[in-house]
This record gives sequence, C-alpha cells and structure tokens, in this order.
Amino acid sequence: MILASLPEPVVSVGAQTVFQVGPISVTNSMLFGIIGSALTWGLLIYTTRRVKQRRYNRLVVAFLWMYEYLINTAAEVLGDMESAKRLAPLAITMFFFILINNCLEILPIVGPVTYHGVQLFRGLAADLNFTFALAVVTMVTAQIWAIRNHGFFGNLGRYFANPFKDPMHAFEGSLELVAEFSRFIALSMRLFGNIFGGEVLLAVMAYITAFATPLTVPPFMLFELFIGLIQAYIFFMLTVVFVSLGTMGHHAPASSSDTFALSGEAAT
Amino acid sequence: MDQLAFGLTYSIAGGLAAVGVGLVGAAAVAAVGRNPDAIGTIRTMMILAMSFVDALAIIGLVVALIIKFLK
Repeated sequence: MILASLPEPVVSVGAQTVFQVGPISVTNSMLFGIIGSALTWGLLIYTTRRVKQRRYNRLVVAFLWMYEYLINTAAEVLGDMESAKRLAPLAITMFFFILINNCLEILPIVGPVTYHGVQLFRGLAADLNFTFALAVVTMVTAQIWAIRNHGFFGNLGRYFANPFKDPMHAFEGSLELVAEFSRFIALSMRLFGNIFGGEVLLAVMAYITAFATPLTVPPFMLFELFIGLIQAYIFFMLTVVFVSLGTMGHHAPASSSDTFALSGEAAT
Repeated sequence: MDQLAFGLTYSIAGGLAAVGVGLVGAAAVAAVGRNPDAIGTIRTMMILAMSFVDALAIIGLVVALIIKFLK
C-alpha cells in the first residue's frame, strides 16, 4: 500500500538534456562532470603546491601514497621507471579523475534534485559518451606509443603480414586487429556498466525499502565507493597494460609473467 | 515476454559470472595455500580478475535494463 503511493525510480540509460547553449545540449552528466573536474583540478593543484612547499598533511600524504603505488605498478608493467614517468601524466590523472567522479556519484543530490522534470545531476561515468571518450584517448595513446617504438610501418606489421610467407603471423595479426577494436567496447562498457548499475541499485534499494532507507542504503553506498575505487584502478591498469602491449616487441617476451597474465585477461 | 527477457538476461549473465568468480576465488585460495607469503600480490590479482568477470555480469544487467526501460 505504502509502496504503491511512492513515485517509482526513474531509470534512463542515456544522459538527458538539461538546457541548450546554442547547438550544444548540456546534459546532466556534463553538469556533474564540471563539478568533478573542478574538484580534481583543485585537489591535485593543492597537493602539488603543498608538496613543493614541503608542508604535508593527511590529504597530501594520502595522494602521495596513491601516486607512489600507482607509478610503481606502472613501472612494473612497463618494465622501467622512465616510461612509467612518461605515461603517468595521462594514466594517473585518469585514475584520480575517475575516482573523484565515482565518489561524487553516491552523493544524495544525484537522484532527487530535478530541474523542469529532468534530474539535474547524474554520475559522469554513468554516461556512455564519457567512458567511450576515455577509451578512445587510451587506445590512441597506445597506438602513438607503439608507433614511437616500432615506427609507422613496424606498427602496421603487428597487424598485417604476408599470408604466404608467414601464415601464422597473418592470422594472429588479424585477430589482434579485431581485439584492438573490441577493447573500445570492453573499456567503455565496463566503467559505464558498473557506475550506471550502481546508480540503479541505489535508486531501487531506496524504493523497495521505503521508510527503512536510512538503514539499508548506506551499506550499498559504501559498496559503491569500493566499486568506484576498483573501477578507477582497473581503468588505470588497463591503460598501462594496453600501452605496454604496444611497446613490447612482437617476438620479445614480456619482462615478467605478471604482464602476460594481465594482458590475457584484458582481451575480454 | 519483456519481463521474461529481463529476468533471463540478467540471471544467465549473473549465474555464469558467479561460476567465474568462484573459479577465481578458488584459484586464489589454492595459490595462497601453496605460497602464503605472496598473499598481497595474489589478493590484488584476484580482485582484478574478479572485476573482469564482474564486468560481463554488469553488462548483462545494463542490457536487461535496456530491455525493460527502453522500448
């Protein structure tokens, strides 16, 4: 009886337009993304300033700790610290950007605040456009690194080979080409699905437990924070692994067995 | 019919992903049993592998929601 009187949760798979600026329609994900970007900029600039002045507090140390862990992981996968330092501005910034946006996504303003019937805020990663853009950036970076390492034609040689001279490599290369495109889908759908699924989960939990919401929803919010952290780490990890796949020679074995295990999984 | 499609899409994806997560967890526990010192590395790799399996179940959930809400 009580359930029937409550409004049903609104589930929309795409982001909705809030208002239009000229030809650009500003969606609710974009609005929330602006807040997230501003927060990311602010926190990272604050951290670098504090580090330059050597005035540490808990927040700065937490950022430094995460940074150190991530860059060591990247160095382990890429093989040396030099290339890890070159990739860090992209991969680690992506990690912090996704992490901060995923943490914002559980704020209670995300669902109920509406503007002309459209919800005003929506998690940034709950919009497929954003995650697909990140995937494009990652894959283009991987190609640029591969071209820098093998040369333009050397990079093409990873995918195409003369089938009469080297039939095994030709077959393998065609599979590699398909895998390269499937990674767009895998990368973008993984992040989108997890964050969008989390939003739907929170909305549905709040709906079915009605007045017990303050007791039932916080555990799921904690779970979503955990998922957000894991997904940010996975995006970072896959960026590093895809770049390292491009830079490693076709015939050269990987530096550690770790890399092989991860790259095998990454093709899903 | 849509309700059936919604249920089956999510339950098949979720069930098979549960088998996958179970395999990953069993392998991780066996690995820790063999080499208890490597528990830190194994835990990280286990969570990574689990989330790769998990992603497929989540994609199943998204497709199921699309079936249910997007007509």
